[in-house]
Amino acid sequence: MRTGQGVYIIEHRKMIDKKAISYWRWTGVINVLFWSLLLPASWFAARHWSWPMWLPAAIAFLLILVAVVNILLIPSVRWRSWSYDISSQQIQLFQGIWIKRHIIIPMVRVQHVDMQQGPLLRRYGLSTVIIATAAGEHEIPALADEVAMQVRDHIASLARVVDEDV
Amino acid sequence: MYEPHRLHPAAILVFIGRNLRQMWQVLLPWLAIIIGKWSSFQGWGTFLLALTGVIYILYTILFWMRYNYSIQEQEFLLESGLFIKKKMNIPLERIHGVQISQGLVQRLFGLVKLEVETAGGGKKAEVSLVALERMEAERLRTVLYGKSTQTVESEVKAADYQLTTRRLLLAASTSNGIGVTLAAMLTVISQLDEWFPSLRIYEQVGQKLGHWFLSSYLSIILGIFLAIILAWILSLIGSLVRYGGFTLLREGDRILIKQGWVEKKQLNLPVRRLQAVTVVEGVLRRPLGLASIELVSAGYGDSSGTAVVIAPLLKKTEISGFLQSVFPEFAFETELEQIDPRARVSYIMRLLLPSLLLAVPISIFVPYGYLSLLLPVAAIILGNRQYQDAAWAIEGDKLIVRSRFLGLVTSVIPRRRIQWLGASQHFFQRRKGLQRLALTTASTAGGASFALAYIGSAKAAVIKNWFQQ
Repeated sequence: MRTGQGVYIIEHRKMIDKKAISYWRWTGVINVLFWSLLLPASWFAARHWSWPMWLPAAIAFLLILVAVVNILLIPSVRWRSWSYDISSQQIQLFQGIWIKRHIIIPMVRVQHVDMQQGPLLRRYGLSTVIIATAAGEHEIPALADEVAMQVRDHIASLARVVDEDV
Repeated sequence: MYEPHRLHPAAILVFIGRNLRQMWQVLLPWLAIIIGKWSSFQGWGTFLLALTGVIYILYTILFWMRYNYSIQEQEFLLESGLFIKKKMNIPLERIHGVQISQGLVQRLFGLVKLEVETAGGGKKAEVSLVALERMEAERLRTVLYGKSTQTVESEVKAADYQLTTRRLLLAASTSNGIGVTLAAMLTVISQLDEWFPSLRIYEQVGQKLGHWFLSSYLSIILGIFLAIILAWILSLIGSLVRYGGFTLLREGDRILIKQGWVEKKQLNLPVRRLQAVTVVEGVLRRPLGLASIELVSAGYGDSSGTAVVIAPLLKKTEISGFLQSVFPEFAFETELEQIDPRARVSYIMRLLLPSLLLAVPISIFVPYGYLSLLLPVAAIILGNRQYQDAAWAIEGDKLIVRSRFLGLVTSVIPRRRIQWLGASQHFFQRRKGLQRLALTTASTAGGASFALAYIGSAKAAVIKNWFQQ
């Protein structure tokens, strides 16, 4: 154990699945496609309602910028920034690119664990594990299905079945 | 076994009142329109209004007839609804408390309101039987709660804390409510035109008063001053009504709070569900050496997250004595430790930067805008105070966290109440070796966070280690 200067106290941390990068890339693509609907709309507004012509241009520029950052750059950095550690006493989550976060959830505080999977995650065979406490939920995103299942069962077996009275 | 019962018929009034209260924002503009153009409505307008009223009242009466409660097979059962029938079952062992109170309507008829508290705040079933005979309420409470009527017994024992009239006045006149009231006043004023479009209030006021009123700065200042005085009086009345006759009693594992002049409220909650206790020294109170004490609980109080006040006003010197005698679980003696000298700059910058972003353009583009440069100065002073006041201590199983936004807030959090701990570190903080620690407990609103911003990493590690023990 290294007691670092920073937020992290490192033990044996596990990474999330590397396919998360492709998954985040695709969510980025879908997002950009959705927002690119603004492009024809602003073009139309500029043609017919004399909105400024620079507006579609600015939107196009922003979209390209967001696309480059969100699709090409961020996903791999984000993947590298995510890790977790589950011991018999506690769950630790590490996360964040610009702001690093370290979350500690004592095992006795875990009320229930769930697995969640959207259509896009399913395509990659990935699942999100959701850890619920009496004060909100935390998630470990994009674990391979079988790993997610193991993690879920592991936590469920460690967490006390009977909730402690809050 | 408890046969199905109806509420007292006065409940019909309560139902109507509650519906009107929920709908008044929708109804008011319509009413304004109808009154404004009364001449064109008169004949059939009156008829339509009357018809709507009668149908509505009949509907409510039928609703009341359907509305009934009973206890069957160890479950509390509430049936309601005319067209959509609703059934709510609450197993008796899930009931965590029963609260009896008296609002205006209930007092008028000599009735009470009974509320059933269940575990877990917010989304879960919350039952409120709005009009019951007192006898019936006490009987129901005994059945639901399996305990004898505690209120009657408790009156034998003297209260642990009682708000004297002098204190009540002091509490009311130093409450923070003034800010809230000012905001509410502004909202009402800004909505007036929308509610009564036919009156054209702004135009009229502007024409009549505009010339002499807005012409001199003195009268603007006078106006602001008057508004503040008015807001202060309103908030004073508000707190008088809310905290009038406040008493607190601790009996074993239960706290019993009675408060309110117009609406008498009784709160009965178990100490084991307390998550944290918070000492609040408001902006107006701190200079006078006064404070109030609140608690964070899970499953009690409003779901809006309004804290339960357990002592509306105490002298600062009395706080530790009060905690020692009434809430020894939350008493502390340890001196608090400041977070880190390196944090001072960060605290100041956090307020200074946004205030500069605001003040600089204003002072350039707005006449007399240079006055807004007072804002950055205030930001520096407040930031420095926030740094000085941010502190913490560990005493056994308790963590004490102090921080200031405007008022000073000291919270005592038992370790076993902390659901999770989050540390976050910004790019710039990383270089300085500072971080932000947040400890979250359960609360009725879903979670209450206590944060130490810009704490030195070594000290943060001490708290983390304590938490991980």
